[in-house]
Amino acid sequence: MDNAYVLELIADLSKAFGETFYMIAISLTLSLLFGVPLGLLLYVTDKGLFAENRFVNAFSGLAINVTRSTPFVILLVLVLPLTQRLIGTTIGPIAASVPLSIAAIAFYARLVQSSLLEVDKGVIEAAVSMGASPRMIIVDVLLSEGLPGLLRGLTITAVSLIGYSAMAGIVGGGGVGDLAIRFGYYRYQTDVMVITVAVLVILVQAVQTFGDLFAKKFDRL
Amino acid sequence: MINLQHITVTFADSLHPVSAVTDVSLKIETGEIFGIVGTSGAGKSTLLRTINLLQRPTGGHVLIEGTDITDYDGENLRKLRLQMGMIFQHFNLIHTKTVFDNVAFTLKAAGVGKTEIQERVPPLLELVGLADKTGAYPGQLSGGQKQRVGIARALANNPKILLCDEPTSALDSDTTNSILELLKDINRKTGITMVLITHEMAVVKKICDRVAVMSQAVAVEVDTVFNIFANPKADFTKQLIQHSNNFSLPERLLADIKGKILRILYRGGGAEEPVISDTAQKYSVAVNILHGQIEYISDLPLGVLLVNINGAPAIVEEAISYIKSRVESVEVLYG
Repeated sequence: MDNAYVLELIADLSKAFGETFYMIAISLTLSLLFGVPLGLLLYVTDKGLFAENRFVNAFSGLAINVTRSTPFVILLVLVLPLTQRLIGTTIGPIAASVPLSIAAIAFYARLVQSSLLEVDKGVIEAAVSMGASPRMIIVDVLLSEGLPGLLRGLTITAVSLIGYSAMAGIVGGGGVGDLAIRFGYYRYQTDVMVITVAVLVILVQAVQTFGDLFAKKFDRL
Repeated sequence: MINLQHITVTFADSLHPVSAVTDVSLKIETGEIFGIVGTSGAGKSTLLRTINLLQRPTGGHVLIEGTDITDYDGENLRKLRLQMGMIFQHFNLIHTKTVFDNVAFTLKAAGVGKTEIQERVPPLLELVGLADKTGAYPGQLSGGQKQRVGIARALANNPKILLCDEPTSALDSDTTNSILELLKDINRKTGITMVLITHEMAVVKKICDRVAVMSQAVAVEVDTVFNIFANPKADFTKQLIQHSNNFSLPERLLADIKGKILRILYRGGGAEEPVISDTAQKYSVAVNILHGQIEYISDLPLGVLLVNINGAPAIVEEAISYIKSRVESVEVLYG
């Protein structure tokens, strides 16, 4: 390995890193913005809860299931017209963030719902008995008590997104995973593949460790 | 006053509907500590929950200070609940919030402003003896301390009614006593009406003024605590009392006994008079105490004695009628 080769690899890697970071930051932010309300909607419209609504519950559940059961590679291609309309192009990390965000929102909404289901019903009942408004029950009880679970879910979503973002290369999204496929697989540069996979392992490990620490900090047991 | 009129709660199950409460009518006076006692599954918790409509009755009416609240919903119901506090067996605190914020939650629910919350929470924590735990999280507290936070939280909006759902059932006996003392103290200081559910007669004895005994969805007996212990009428109540005062005598004693065994029940002032020694002096009979207990319920003495009385049959009869004239009741158990 000469110096030029190593320098080029470092340049490629840092560019790919930047792209991955972009895609994940955008889709993780959007999954927080939309996934939390969607998960809450699923929870509060469920049977026996204060905003019980079978139609809304069934419809949002179905929308999530359809998104989640579509293989990501296919979703990637399916939403191309939408991406074109929203971003004006279908190429690049920002364009790839559209399908990634859609998948992440659906994924995270389910995790939000399941962590809300873990919240002790007695605590909710206590809040109701004290005359708390639905808004207070959502903010001060559900989101507050569910926070550790919401953070763990966000970590899981981030790790899945790192995996999904590798597929984004198909629509020209770039990123670390894409680098591994292009150099390592198509060009038989095993060393590049090994390095990128190692980088991905470190990245996932870092995200998981950081997420766990954060969740633990807010879990006041 | 809380007036429950013909309350029925049926849980709709597609196969067989279960009746948790069947036609229960109760009047709970302002300022009293009213107990609802019964075994688990008797429907007492469901009945309690109809008072703040956490459980809507399927039949009957709930009247509070004369107003029928049975059909309240939305904002009306929320406003009504602000005037009632509730504490729970498992405390149900928000474990991601500090002690201060748990208490502040109730005030916030009532729309109290931030500066006023800062002023009102500390005296509440002072009242329940947790002034030093302001910044602690529930996970760092003992069971008794958690219940104290629950009490402070429930009292924050100065409610007129406090509903207590098995408040001491998850606590050890020392802690139970201290929580009951605290509740009684609060009742005396503020005149708040308390409705308390428990499965332990000891809890009823300790703090309640009146009690409803529930068995299989029905209130079988309602009376003052003293009368429930002194003179239980329903069979189920008798069973409950027997569990709490066990007066069985060993077989060996019964085999060797001469004369009669009497069960003497004292109540009120009679328990403080020396009836037994008077009897022994007045009649030539031997009186031997086998078993006994005097308790003070609502500050009134209630005593049960098992005595062996022996002598000439005619004199024994005379002595028995003398004792009868001095105490609540005498029952010949043996001989």
